[in-house]
Amino acid sequence: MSSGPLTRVLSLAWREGPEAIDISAEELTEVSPLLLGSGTGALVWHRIRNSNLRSSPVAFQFQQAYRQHTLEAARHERDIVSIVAAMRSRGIDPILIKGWSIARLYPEKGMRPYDDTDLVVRCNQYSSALAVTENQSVTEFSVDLHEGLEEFGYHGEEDFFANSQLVKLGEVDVRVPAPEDSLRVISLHLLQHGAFRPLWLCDVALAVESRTPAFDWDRCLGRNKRVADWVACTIGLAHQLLGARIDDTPVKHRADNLPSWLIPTVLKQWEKPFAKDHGVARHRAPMASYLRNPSGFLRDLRTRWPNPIEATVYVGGPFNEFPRLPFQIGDCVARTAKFVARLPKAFREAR
Amino acid sequence: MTERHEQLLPLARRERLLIEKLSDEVLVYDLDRKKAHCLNQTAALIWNHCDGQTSLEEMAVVLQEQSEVKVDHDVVWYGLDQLRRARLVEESVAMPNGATKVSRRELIRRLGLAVAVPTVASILAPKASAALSCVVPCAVPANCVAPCTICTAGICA
Repeated sequence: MSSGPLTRVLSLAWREGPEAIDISAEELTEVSPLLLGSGTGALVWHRIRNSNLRSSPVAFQFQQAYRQHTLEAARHERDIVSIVAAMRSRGIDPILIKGWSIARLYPEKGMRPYDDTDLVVRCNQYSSALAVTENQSVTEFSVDLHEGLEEFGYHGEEDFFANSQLVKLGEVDVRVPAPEDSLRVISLHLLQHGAFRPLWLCDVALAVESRTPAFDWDRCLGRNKRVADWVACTIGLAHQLLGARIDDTPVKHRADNLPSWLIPTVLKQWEKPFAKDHGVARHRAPMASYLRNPSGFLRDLRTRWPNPIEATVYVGGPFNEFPRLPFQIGDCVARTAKFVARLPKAFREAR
Repeated sequence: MTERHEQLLPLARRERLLIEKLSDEVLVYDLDRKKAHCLNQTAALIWNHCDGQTSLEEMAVVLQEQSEVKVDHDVVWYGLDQLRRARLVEESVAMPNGATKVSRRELIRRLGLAVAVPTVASILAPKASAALSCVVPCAVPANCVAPCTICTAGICA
């Protein structure tokens, strides 16, 4: 297991009674901006509150994060109850993915922050669902509506919906994915975003460790061998970086033998685990704006260079020992082609 | 003064509040003012007894029973004042004429135990965009790139 201070703090932090922590107050202080800024502050409080570090000066910030996230979770739960009820009243039965559906598995509700409600609706109900989210004023936070599940490697929605489960939240039954689908979705989501947020890997570790004996690995990994390997490698990251227990899983061999570039890439990302440094947030301006004003284009191009993980997944490449550069170039080419294809529409909409 | 204390029956505000009870404190989020508060055990105990039927003297007795230190109504007053400032009691709980206002330091000195002093602390409001994967504002879908390709409500999702 990797032994940097950040990974040592977060290792096993999702468990009910995490083991003793092996980190000094100085080390904790050093990585505290990364932990607090990336949403793992409450997990760290859970990890240190029964240790000597509880009395360290930096501990108060983690306790505050825990308090904040606890109240924030209560506010989100109100939102979820409201939006699910609003959808159901119009005959739409959404599935809540990520966010609360994974946060509810943690020992305490404040341990895992989330900022929006991700709802998957059937493709033929998308416009009605969009109208509900746009016209409602019952939610405090944003609702992220997903039309179908292609982004998570599902080619049909029927099976995903058929296997979903109802979980009680207050007076409402909230539909969440089957545990197998949930693990697959959070693993692919992590990879699509270049694994920049350590919290997401804690989610994967928790989902693996909280599975029941009936967990269907074939369902989780799916029929596509490449996607199955991506999921297995993500579980491998949770194992090697955070100590997730995977001894009795079919992915153990793969988890122990990850491509040599994968862990260094993740650790490099974790040096900047903030949303503002990743994805579209790091772009200085929309590409279309450079058509009118090219100044700054080259500088922005550098910030758009994809990390090896997101590039490989974007172009559908394998996680093997070959260099990642071709995938990163392929990612840029594919995105440029997509951008060019969208230009006429963008011009029409801008007018 | 004791008579006046006995007549005062504070009532806790319960509407438009989210309340989370933790093992050693109570967290309260005020939905109207969008402010979060953390009540330590003593403050929470006082707040719980603000039922419009319990006098300050009775509250002091309850506090006394549940703590190992000597509690008088100055402690209850201090707690009520904290709750009043946080707008967690229904009506303004004005201090009666003649009642003495004690400081936190004075109470700690008297009780000999800082944790026994009722405390209502503010918690910084949670940031709404801390964990979003897609946070870029957009006017048209062309502003958004994968995996956040949909422009909805001015944000790439």
